[in-house]
Amino acid sequence: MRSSTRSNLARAVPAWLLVALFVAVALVLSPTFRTGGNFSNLLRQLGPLAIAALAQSIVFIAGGIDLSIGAVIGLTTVVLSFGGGGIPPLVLLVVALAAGAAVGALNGAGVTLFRIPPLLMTFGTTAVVKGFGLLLRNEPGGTVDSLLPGILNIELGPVAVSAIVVLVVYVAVWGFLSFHVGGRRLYAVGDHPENARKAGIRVRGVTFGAYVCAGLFAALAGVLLSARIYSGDALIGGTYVVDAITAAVIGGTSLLGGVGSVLGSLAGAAVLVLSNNLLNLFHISAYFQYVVKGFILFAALVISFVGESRKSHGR
Amino acid sequence: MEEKQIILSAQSISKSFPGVKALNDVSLECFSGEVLGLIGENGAGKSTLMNVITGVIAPDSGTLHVDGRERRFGGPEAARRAGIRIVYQELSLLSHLTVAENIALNHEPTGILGFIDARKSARNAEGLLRRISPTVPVDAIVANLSPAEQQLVEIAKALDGNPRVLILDEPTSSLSRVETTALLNVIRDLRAGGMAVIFISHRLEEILALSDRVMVMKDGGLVRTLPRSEADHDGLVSMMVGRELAQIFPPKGGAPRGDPVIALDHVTIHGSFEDVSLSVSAGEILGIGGLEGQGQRELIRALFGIEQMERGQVRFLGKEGAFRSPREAIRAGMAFISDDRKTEGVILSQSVASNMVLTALDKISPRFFIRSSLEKSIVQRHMEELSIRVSSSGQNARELSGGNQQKIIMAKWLETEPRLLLLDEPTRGIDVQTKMQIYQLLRDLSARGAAVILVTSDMLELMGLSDRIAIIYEGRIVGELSAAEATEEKVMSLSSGLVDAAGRAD
Repeated sequence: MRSSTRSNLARAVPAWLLVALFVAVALVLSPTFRTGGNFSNLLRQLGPLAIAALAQSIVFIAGGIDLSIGAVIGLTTVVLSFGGGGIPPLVLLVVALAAGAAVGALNGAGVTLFRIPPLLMTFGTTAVVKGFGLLLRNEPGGTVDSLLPGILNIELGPVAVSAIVVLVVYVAVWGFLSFHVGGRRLYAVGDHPENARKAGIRVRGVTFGAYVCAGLFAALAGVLLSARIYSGDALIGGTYVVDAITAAVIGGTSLLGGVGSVLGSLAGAAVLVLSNNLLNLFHISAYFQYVVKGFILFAALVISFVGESRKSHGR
Repeated sequence: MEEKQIILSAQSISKSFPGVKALNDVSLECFSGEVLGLIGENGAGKSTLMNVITGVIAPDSGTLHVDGRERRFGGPEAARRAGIRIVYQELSLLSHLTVAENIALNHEPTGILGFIDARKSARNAEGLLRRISPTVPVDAIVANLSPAEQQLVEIAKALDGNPRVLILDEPTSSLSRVETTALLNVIRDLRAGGMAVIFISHRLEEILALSDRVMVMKDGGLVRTLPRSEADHDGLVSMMVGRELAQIFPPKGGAPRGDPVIALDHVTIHGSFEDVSLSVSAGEILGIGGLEGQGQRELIRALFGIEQMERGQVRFLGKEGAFRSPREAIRAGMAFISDDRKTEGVILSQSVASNMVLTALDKISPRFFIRSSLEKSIVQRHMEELSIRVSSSGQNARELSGGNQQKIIMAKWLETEPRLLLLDEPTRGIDVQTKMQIYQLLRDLSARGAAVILVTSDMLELMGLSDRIAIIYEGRIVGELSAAEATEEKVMSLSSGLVDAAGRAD
């Protein structure tokens, strides 16, 4: 029996082919790429972005967008950077995740109760969250208690625990979205909110839940990032906003809602990390990398929107 | 024959919205194993009545009984649980889910922890769908199905949980004749199984073919409910509109004069319309008929420059070349009235006056600034000529009835003295009084030498107003009929792609 899960997975295939292509090119062209050090480095870079892209994809599937992901990542690193002050690291972890979920709840409330367009609502919360982060720590610094990074960075061969966390989270979310009634409702709401409402689905509740999940996962991305940088920086999440959007779009998730598979977003994130890594290996300027990433986003958007409009014209 | 049982009874239902009495003391009864045909013009109150029955809105007064028990529905879900289902005219499926997923939506059978039991769900969907159609695949993504197949899926979905009453709101409006016949048979089967069916349609021949009783509504009230044996086509029409047919449409114009105002030669936009060749002369009204979604909408939008022609020639007033933008088309002497009145017709947040002079801004601002005396005189003239009744010309367009909005749009374009007027569904949702005024305006405009192209899905309008009728099917013009030779029967056959204009079967 075929299902919509299958057609959603089909949309993720090009992104995975792209990953394979990038890996192949890198293996041929760069001896450095083949080293185990580079591989585990790649995986550690991938972690935060992959989870940020997951957060973004959930909101995309629900038919929205979340620009506050980056600010939440920054705030999370700031919260965790108070590890030197005697507060138990697990308390800080819970506070950070709760803060992320709370930001998501704020976004969800604005979008569902006050009908503020998601783009503007999450843009607004971005400013608020960034402000809070800067109030707590107005310049990068602090110390992250070594407990969490210690666990996350344990190497099992070339694979760190953090990479396993990413994989487990991805598989769990994918399974929920594909096979659970909650996931089915998320797709339904993103596909056509009015028709979903007619089918008896509580559209506002589902949308609200999607934003809360996005906030929570953005905070988790922040936790993974903290384990890499060992300090707090309220502004560090900025680049993750565009990167997460790009990763999701490359992965075949529609910005119009209702279609896509989070497994595609994982590939999309890998494409971005690989392209960065390749440009680095060839000593291309970091500023030029921004330009490249911008064009990757444009290309993905063009392909995605041209595809959508073709389909909507067909009879 | 077994006794028919009364399933649903609505007594003396009334409902007012701000400014309108949408339902006035309407009663309805549904029996098991019976089809009740419900007809009425747009705005007659059919939808409001169905919304009351399905719990979407609460009535101001009146009672509902299901199986003899009085019910007050708090919402659609309550009506659903009571066994009342509705299939809306606009399809309400989710296009990226499969047929089975749609049928199960929000009632999915679940296993542990709320995970969907996909197999059970598919089996259930299959069982429901096979009562309706032997062929529609259960595992197809809905976006890949034809409108007719989607309609069948909608009905199968409505049958989940063995409902007692099934309401079908214009289920045939986008179906071909073959598909319609098949659907009517499905409904007959359901009736034979004891279902109480309320069947809403604009096509009287379907109503007459299917219904056991016919209920006619007009202006929010019940005109009459009569048994099939007492119903006939013309009688139903005059009950619906409250007038004899002959009174509604002004007499047709004389012969077309002179060279064609516009001539199309094999124009094409792939996927919308193909090889369309038509011409319209001054003083002539050309009606384009056909099922909904056959490319007629795209065709007149392309004439106005909203979409670009891909192939073929357009000759307008002797000049070669299709227009690339509405701006060009307007300058050359075209006007276009969209079917989407609220977003493409009027600017809702602006006043009646501002809306009316929108096409005359150059005229009323001879020296850069708008001269209000000029504006006023134009507005005054139109208000009188079109008998637009508003409390003041400063009133927002949003607050007006659809009929008055449409008159403002007409005024706006009449001010440009167009040589060709394009109309897409100009009277949808408008009361009969205003319709008659609009018909008269169109006839006057054409008598003054303008050419008119009218796209309409309203059979009466198509027949009553057009000097010539072109039928479009799957993007192609399949026949042209003069007013004299056009009959409803011929138009319907052509619309379904079953015969060509000479009457030969396909």
